[in-house]
Amino acid sequence: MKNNNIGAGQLVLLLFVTRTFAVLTLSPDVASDISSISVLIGEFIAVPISFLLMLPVFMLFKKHPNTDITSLSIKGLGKGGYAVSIIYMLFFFAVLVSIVSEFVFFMLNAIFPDAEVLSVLIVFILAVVYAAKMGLSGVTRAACIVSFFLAVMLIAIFIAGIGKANFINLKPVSETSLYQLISAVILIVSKDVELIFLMFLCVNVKGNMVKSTAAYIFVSCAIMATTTFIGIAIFGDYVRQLEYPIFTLTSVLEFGFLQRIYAIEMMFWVVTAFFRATVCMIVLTHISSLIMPKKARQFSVWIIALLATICVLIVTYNVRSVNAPYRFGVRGIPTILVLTVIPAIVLISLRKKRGDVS
Amino acid sequence: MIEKMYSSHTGQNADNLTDDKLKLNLNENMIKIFEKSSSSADLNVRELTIGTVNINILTAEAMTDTYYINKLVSALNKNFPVNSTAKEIYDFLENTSLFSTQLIDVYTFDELFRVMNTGMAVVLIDGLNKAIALTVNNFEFRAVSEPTNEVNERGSKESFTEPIRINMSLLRRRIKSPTLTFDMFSMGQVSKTDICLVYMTDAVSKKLLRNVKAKLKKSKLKIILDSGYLQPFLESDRASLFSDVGVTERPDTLISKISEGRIGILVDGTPFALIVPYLFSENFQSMDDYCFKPYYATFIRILKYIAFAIAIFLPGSYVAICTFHFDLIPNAMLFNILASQEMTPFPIMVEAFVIHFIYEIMREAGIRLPRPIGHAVSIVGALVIGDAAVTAGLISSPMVMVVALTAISGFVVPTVHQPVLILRFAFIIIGGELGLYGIALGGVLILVNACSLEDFGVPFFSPISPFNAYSMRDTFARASFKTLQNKTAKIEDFNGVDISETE
Repeated sequence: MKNNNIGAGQLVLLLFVTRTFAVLTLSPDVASDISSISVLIGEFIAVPISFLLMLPVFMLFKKHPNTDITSLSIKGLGKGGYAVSIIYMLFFFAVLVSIVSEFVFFMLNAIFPDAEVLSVLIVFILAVVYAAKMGLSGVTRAACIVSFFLAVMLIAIFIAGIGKANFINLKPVSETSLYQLISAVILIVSKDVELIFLMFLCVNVKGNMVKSTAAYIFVSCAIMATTTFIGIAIFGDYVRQLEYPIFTLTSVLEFGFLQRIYAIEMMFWVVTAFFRATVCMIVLTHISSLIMPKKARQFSVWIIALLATICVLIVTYNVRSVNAPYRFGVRGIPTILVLTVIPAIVLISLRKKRGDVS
Repeated sequence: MIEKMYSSHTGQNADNLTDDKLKLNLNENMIKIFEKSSSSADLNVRELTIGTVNINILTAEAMTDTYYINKLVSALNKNFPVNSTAKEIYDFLENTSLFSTQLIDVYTFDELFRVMNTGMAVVLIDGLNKAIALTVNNFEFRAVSEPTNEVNERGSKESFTEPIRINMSLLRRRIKSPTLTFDMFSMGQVSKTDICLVYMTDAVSKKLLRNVKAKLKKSKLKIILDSGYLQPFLESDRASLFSDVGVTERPDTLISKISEGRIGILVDGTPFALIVPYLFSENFQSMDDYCFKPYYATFIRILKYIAFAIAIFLPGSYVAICTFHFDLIPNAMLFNILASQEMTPFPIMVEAFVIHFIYEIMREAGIRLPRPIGHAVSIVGALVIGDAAVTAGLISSPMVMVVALTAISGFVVPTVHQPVLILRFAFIIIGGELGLYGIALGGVLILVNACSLEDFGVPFFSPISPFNAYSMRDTFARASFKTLQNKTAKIEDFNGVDISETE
């Protein structure tokens, strides 16, 4: 991954594209007891919180630029660094399975109800494997081009949706509570896996990591808040009953003679899911190269793809089995662990080692 | 001076040549020459004796100007007394004669055959182990004519032709600055084809130049008949439908590219020059863009991008929407499409595939057919596809519209015809099997593949991605010359470009 240099602006656009996957599917989160207005306000509060959570990462990379967290953890923690690599591998594997599962659920429920799971799944996984083999540079450049069309689509949805908005649906701020706000912030941050992508991709970035992170966080807040606002303004509290609120929104919007454009929106969702899964696969392949034997490294992407396919099939046919892990994930503990705690531990261990040496 | 010219031309030093050297004895040399050429009928030998010195003038049949050969013979007879030496005769030819503009020292039989078969006259003098080649070329070649593939309304009407030196002159007439450099050498173990690298010394990157030469050296081809033979050796290693090596038959296009730091490659025997590195956005640029007003040029460029997308995606999208997503179509149009589809026996995917295949057969036939009967193809095409097939109910009329629009859109950007053709058929199948989901996935995969292409360290999608704001003045839009004159965009200044040594 080291030879795939990308610019800071390119990184932000890539993460914008991958983040839009969350926008199109679950915003605000369904089946939670958090009120919609709390989620909307939480989007703004999440900005400084996300920044604060990234502080150990900033400090780590300021001292050790161009080295990713897994290599630094091996340097700082010795054999314990391999355990860190495994933790990150498991985390990203869970994220990959989650992305692909959500994608397959959407396709089979909303677009192709009569289709076979395997036909949707295998095509998607093969596409992700191919793109991962193309390398980060090619994927990022393609994402930059797609981001333009994605932005146009989001703006078009917002403009068309604002006409159908009913501002009475927006509840007053006084109806929220501190508990709900905190829960909303944790929910939003825990789902922002792009911050963890950033930790691994910044090694390849020619530019300032802090500025890139700040730019991404603001862009993410802007699109999440806007779509949350539109969802609440149009659907009110009913938005919490909808599985795919933005998708449902596009099925009722009209753009001149174009009606029922959800099929076009579906294409964008396919593209964003593809990029998110591909970035996840690239990071996974990189981490696995540190712990896999040399001969197996060239097959790592295929091994990961096969395992992910099996896991997605299990999840698809037995959805209830993942309720508990999902609930655990959205509480924010895994995200805070990999985003803040582990980098802080690595930072402290490296400083200690430097102190011992001097 | 001649030795220096010879060395720079062939890259050889007279001191370290092979055992294939010319001998002092003329008869021995001639025996070797007849042996190597198997006494070929196109080998002409003019024997003469000046005093006591035997001289042979070797030429290839119908490739030299006999007037200058006769003048040479006449001058030799007139200027040399009976007791002249071989060295004196050689010195006369080298330093005093004005029979040709270029003289080359020849030391080996391989070099002798190479220069003779390019149309030069080779003078072998008994008593000297070298020959002298004179440029008296006068072979038949196709005159400079209008480009056939890159037709413009207002640009120059000159295109390259087969002889490499004529092409060099077409370029030189356009750039009179000494910074325009031609670097000539031969490739092909059997054909020994003349290849010329063209670049501007104040614009080109030296690393790029070395990388291009290194890549060309890897070719072990025995015969090179066209620039297409060299193209695969210059393209990036990644497999792709798109080529990151440009091809042009227009001297003005090549000049505009090399002024930005690119390298042009001329190949003797073909009117198509190569350009490296080449960018995706250049497929949509033409010389006419710089002859029209900026607003019109911008409009035409955007039209070309849209036409490119239509040529690839329209048939597949039509199939996908009509098969899986017909609720996207407005009601009035939907009823018409469904009614016409009811009359046809085939599934829409098969219908689209077959009709596009028939169109490609007719298009290919139209290219290969002799001109007098070429009109028959358009008549057959119009009758078969446009009328008979629809009347017979084999295809629907909306499908005819789709084919027509796709075909015309494909002609707007002929430089990408190859990938467009293949992708069109691929997306018809993908659209028929997977709907817009497949179209989206396929489209983004093609985009990722194209974006990952990088030739000589230059990303294929520059300056779109990686984005270069300054270059946008001449990518999708075409700014006024008052803006363009401020700075010339050099390829190595683009974002993401990293021309490093590969060898």
